[in-house]
Amino acid sequence: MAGENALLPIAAMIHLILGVMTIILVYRSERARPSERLAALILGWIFFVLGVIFLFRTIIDYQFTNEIITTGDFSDSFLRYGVGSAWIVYMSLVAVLPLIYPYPIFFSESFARFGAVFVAVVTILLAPLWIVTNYEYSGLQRAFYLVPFLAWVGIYLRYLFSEIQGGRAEDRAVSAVSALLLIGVFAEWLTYWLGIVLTQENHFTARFLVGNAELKDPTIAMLLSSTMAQAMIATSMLVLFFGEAWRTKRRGFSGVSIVIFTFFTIGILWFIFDYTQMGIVDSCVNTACEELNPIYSTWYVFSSEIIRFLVVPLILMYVILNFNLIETGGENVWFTRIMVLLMLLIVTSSIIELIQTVLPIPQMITSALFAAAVVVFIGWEEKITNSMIRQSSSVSDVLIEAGETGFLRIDDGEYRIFSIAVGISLGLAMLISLLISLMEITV
Amino acid sequence: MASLDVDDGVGGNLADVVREIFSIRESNIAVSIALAVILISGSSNLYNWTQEEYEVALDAATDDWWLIEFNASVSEIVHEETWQDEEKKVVSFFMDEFIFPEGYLVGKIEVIVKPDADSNGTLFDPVAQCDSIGANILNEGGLTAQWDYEGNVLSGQDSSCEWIRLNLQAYPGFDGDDLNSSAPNEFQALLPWKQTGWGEGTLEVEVELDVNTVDALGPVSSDDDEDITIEVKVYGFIASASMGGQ
Repeated sequence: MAGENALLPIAAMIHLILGVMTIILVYRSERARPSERLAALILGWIFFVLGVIFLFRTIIDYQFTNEIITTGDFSDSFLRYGVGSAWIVYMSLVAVLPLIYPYPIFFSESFARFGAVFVAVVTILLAPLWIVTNYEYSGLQRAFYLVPFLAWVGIYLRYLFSEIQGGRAEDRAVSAVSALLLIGVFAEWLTYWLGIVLTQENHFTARFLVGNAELKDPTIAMLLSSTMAQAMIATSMLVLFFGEAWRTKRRGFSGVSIVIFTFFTIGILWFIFDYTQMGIVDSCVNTACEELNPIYSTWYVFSSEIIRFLVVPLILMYVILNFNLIETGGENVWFTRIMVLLMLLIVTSSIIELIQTVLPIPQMITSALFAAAVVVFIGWEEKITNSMIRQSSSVSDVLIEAGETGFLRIDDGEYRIFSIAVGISLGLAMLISLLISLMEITV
Repeated sequence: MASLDVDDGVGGNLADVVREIFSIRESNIAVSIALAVILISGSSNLYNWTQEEYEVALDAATDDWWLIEFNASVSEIVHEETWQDEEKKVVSFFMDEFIFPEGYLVGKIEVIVKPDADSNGTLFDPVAQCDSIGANILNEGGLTAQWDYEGNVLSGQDSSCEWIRLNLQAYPGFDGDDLNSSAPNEFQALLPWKQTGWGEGTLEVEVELDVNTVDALGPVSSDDDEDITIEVKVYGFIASASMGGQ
């Protein structure tokens, strides 16, 4: 059986590497559209912060698995505070991105500065607040999901209609990017849509609530935020599904529609599999928490964890490369190729390793498979990279040419300010977490 | 479709942006439906929560005090045998020969070693003296029990015709007395008292005899053996919990 969290260390590595490389590429993409360059910078930081979160989770998982730490020790440790504070930075970045991309709703030359201030203020306010309240109200930060939900669902529908009813084929780029970004942010939660709609997901919330009771008491704030976030996520999935079904009927299949149909189908499977395990899921509430079935856990690893840790970074990288958020030509071409190859090799080796834990395939065969994948990637590296950026189209160009928005100028210094502010926010979040964990809370 | 009146480098204000995004009627209807779905889905989840799961989960996450009561049952086996002077014997008792009602677990074991009632003199042998008896419970029969428990009495000796009482705790924490426990529900309160596997194996009791005789006195003074009875009582229990202990 593939162990739960088996992909965490790989996910941490992938996100950190992609984050650093994306941020570097943004600074080397002086000819990219400014709003898209800023979006790439935000995505780069999202990658990096996710990498930090996954790194924390890897250490936490390792310590619990090897019984180095107890729940009591963990409750006031730097590990718990650190990962909680990093989530705040991540959520604030997620709230900033939809305001500038794909549609520059906040059309301002100083948007980068505004975004930086927003991230910094939110981090400095919420990091200590959540720690001293023992994260009992931290669910409220899910309200930030409202921004991507409202912005991207609205923009997705707007440009889907203008493509199909208005006959503007180029508008597909805008709706496709919105759909992909929704998947990038809501990730595996989209596959729980049917369980959410039919209220089955509540049983899991109750299980986690009881399972975490040793760390924090359940609160109404947590209940409200969790319910509304789940409703937003399920609605996003339904909007995307019906939108793509309609588009497929009119225009035929596309890569994006296949991804969305896959998520929709996985959602139905999840509902069925969850239903079969309800006795175990409810055990925490009714009797004592029982371990989940090993096959069920393996299905979780092969669906939810692969989506969260491997598919999401691939989708976001696709958005960055295919929609010209950064310059992929000229001097950057080698950098881009290295990034794509590295990504593909890590994902391939992870999936092969995962398969090996489930099926009794001799290591000789999996090594040969991996070697074959390496040869294919090296032999076709140009082709693979080109296919990622083959149909490059800039959403900004589409919007500007249609006269729906103007050309947003952002000074080079603004990108630097944004990066410094986010870096300092992350550093401060870690410092606050470390110091409070050392001081101990006595209130 | 509305379009923003913008030049290169000039952006629209927020009102223009909103007007542009909501410029298609059909799209606005779809957005409205999406928002309605959110409200319906969120409300139904919330209703379901407040009506069912929340109270139950809250209750499950909050500890209560439970009074744990033990219903005991005793199963007994008696072994009688004659020991010769300075003889040391080990008597084995197979634990599966002690019979308990369904669901009972082995809590503790009591061993009583009884010398012959006549050993302190009789009408026929009035000067006979009490023999010296030593008894030990041996940890050699693979018996699963709390061998390191401080309250155990695993060895005893007597030369005044008194019974030797030994005891061994089999189930962790069991002493037969009721107790209070903090747990979120009845199942978890009883969880520590439902472990199987304790009190299994073979109980080994070692008994050694040293006969005391008075030379040339009394009609039957050539006493060189002793009838010894070993009584083994095994206490089984089944636990029940009721809320409101402490």
